Amino acid sequence: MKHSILIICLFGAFSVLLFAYGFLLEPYDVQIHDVYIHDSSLAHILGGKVVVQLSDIHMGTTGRREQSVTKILTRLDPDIIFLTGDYVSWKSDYTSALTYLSKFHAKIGIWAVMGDYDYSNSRRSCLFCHKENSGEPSSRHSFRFLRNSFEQVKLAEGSLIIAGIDTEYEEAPDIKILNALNNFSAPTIVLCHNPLAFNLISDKANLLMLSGDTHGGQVPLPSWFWRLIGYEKNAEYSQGLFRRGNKQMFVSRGIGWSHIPIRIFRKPEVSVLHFTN
Amino acid sequence: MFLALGLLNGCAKSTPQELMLFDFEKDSDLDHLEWRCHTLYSLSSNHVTHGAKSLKIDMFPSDYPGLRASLPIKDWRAYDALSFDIYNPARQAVLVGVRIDDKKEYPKYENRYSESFVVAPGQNQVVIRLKTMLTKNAKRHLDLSHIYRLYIFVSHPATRLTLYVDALKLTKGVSSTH
Repeated sequence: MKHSILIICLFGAFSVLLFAYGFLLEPYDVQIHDVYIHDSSLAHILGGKVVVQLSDIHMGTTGRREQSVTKILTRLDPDIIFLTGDYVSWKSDYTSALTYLSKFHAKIGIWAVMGDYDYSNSRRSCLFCHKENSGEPSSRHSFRFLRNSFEQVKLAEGSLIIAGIDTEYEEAPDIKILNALNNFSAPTIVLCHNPLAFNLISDKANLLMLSGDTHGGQVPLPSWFWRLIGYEKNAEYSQGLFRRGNKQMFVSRGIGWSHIPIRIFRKPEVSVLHFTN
Repeated sequence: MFLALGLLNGCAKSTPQELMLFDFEKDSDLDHLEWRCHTLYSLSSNHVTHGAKSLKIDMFPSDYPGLRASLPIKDWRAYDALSFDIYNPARQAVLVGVRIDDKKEYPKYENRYSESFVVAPGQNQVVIRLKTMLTKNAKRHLDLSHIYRLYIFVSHPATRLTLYVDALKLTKGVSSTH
């Protein structure tokens, strides 16, 4: 009997400590995650450059977590930043997110796609690209938002194609951009918030896709559980590197959280991409 | 008897002759629209047919720019027609598409209502009888109890186009089809 009580008390204390850690500490403990991607054509162009991916910031106001990211970016001094969506919390104030993002700087450039949360206030979502109530481009930042489009970026080492797939309003992605991706011959990096778009790209396409959206699940749970509650993206591509045929994908755990402000063994990350032969 | 009359009166009140979906009077009405690239919405005092404002839609060259609305009222069963006023300020007619989805998960082309209407220069009214709303493959009538979204769009405009829309509503007892 005494043993049972002791075990229950220990379990209770462990649970309290674990949840306290998950709510109070880990969500703010932003890590640098070095990711090694084996791709000779991308390595030829991007090898030696500091390439950073940020995802799922989900910010309301600039707090501890956002300040940590800024410090890391300042230290890394990136050549390229890729942003893979969900900059704001659900229907939150976009102004603070835009002000925060506008401070990002990269020597070559910053390319971005939108996430589903960024469309939660459809009207405000236009502010990422445009001045308010206008079709004029935004002067707040120098990002290149890719919405079912691509750009050919000419660097000293060669040309790189950077494309963005928009899964706007959860409607099927634009078939034209998917067809284009399957036929590029130059080294290609594709940004898409939703990792399930990886399934829509031909296995023969030689490209790297960068995604987010899953937050690594925020807590470690088995695939069958995610599938059971309808989170196929987490069941299939929770976090990390994936390869199928010629195509590869890296899914970032991201910075912020959604639904419940918790992270347990899924630390927020600034991903640094290293391209190797 | 009185109770029956009272009930009838109550029923009549619950489904008015006309139900305005969007009259585009308040700035907050614009929050109910889906804002997408290549379409810009604003309220205008021009070409008004109801109240003091209309919706000005500026459409830029792209695939299908236009009005995209998530509907506040999804049950249309008590009504006979959908109508809206549309003003074309150009000198030539514009072919305008109307898409209506009765499924939350964006149905494919053949499984949704999709028709085109010629909008002549000047003021027009488009009236669509709800009973005529078949899916594009003509296999089924739309489920009027679950109408999720309505698009009024132009296909692949080569240059910037502007249209004004007002009084987007459901009506009872409409006999003509435009």
